[in-house]
Amino acid sequence: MWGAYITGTYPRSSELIEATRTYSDDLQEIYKEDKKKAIELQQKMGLSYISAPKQDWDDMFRPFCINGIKVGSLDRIYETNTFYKTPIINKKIKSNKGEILKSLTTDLFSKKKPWKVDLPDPYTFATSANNNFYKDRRDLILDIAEMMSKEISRIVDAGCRLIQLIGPAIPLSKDNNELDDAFEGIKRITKGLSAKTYLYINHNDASNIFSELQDCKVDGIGIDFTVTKPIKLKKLKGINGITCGLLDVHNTRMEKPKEIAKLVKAITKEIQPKETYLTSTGDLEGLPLEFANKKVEIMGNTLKILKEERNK
Amino acid sequence: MELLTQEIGSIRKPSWLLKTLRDPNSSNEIKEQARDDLAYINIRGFEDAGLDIVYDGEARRAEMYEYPISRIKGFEFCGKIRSWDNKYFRKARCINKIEYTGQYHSQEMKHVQEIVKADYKVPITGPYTLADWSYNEKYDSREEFIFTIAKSVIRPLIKDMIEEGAKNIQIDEPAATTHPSEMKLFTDAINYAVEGLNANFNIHICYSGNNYRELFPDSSSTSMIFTNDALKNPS
Repeated sequence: MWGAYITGTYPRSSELIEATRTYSDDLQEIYKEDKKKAIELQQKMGLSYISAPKQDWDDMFRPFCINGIKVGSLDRIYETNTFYKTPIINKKIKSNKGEILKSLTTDLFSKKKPWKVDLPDPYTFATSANNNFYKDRRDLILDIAEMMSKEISRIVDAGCRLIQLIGPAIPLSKDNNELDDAFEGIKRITKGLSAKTYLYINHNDASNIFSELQDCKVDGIGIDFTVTKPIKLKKLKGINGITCGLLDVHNTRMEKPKEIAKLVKAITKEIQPKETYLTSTGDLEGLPLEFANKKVEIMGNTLKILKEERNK
Repeated sequence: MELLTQEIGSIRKPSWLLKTLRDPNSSNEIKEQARDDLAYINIRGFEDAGLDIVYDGEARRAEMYEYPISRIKGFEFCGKIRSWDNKYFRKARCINKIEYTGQYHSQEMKHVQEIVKADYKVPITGPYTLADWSYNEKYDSREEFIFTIAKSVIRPLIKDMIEEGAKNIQIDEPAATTHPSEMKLFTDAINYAVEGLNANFNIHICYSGNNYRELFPDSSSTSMIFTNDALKNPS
């Protein structure tokens, strides 16, 4: 089965960027308008899941910086020129009260199309945070997982059909114990959840953990193939689903749908999963809005080619 | 051994300057005079404070990327990209052959030379940062892209600056540690740009997350002294 969806945060329009700088009275309305347009484009291009565009998220962790998690100083998001503010953990993590769900503006989603949300995986969250409380990082990971699990259950209850956990830190885990902690955190989230779950790995080369990824309790694995070279893919054979991050969010050069379709098929042939999705290599906000929109169009056109070829 | 003191780059623009620049009734002459005035105030301020090496607080520059890129052929601005939160910068893509169009800091440098009493330095944005903060649609590899900027823009720029009297040049490279595996590429590009040129060169690196340690394995192979100002912007 072929599918496609976008990954991560969608870029803000010029009007919204200006409104966030002037703290415009209409800011919330402009956020909503930007989200609406991003959702409409995804629907128009026939994407399989409509991603929550999250233009009001300042970074992947910021909405979680409530109820005792403080906002810290800037740190670079891996090898990019974009920064996030480090979450500071000074006390035991508590569950929140549905603030993440509220930020997704779910009333904008059509009931006819399934929608998805991207959230950090607990290990990436833990390793990106400044931890001043937990003596054992495993305890931190599991408490983050518990906090997220409750929030994700609310999101799924609201109609979300795919939770994609973003886990760029996972390939950087030092040993099998750390990897086990990362996978345990994910397991605590996915267990019993009535929505599909994928783990997406961008920013870092995931090929060193291909075999281990088979043990991760998710429905599918996503790989940024601009960072992880599509070699040794047979090690992923046996996974249920693969998401191919092929539309480059770090270059304005536009991919050709036929070439992307060819790559998607080649990857699928190697891994032989039950389902294959195409996605952007990461947050489309790595591109200005106009270019991000074009990449979504390319994504939709590639999906069309894949479906047409299957029907021949 | 001397302990030389210097400020590192841009000084906050005062409200009177911003008001003048934003006022639709301000003529270009008035705007230019306002920039000159700020440059004068900054230079005198640094000198009065006793700094050994001064500049004008980058009174004419809004930032460090858009200014040079808009004066180099081959680039086209394509939209705003987030740095963090609501802070954005205009990002360019390289779509044509890169060409140097002349010493783009000449005017401000001349003004500094007219009024300065202490030694002065000229800050410029380095080749690695200009490449890393741009999209490359023209050159086949990052290496080719970075070295083309070093060879075709930064080296001739530095040569012209030296010819116009610059003796101290600060190369700003906040992107230096972005890709740890490229530290040699970064170092080689800088060395390529400055090799055999007669001036004192310093690199200024900031906003590098927690990756300053990446600088040091290769620092011994550069022909420059690193002036890391991590303490200026403690994170």
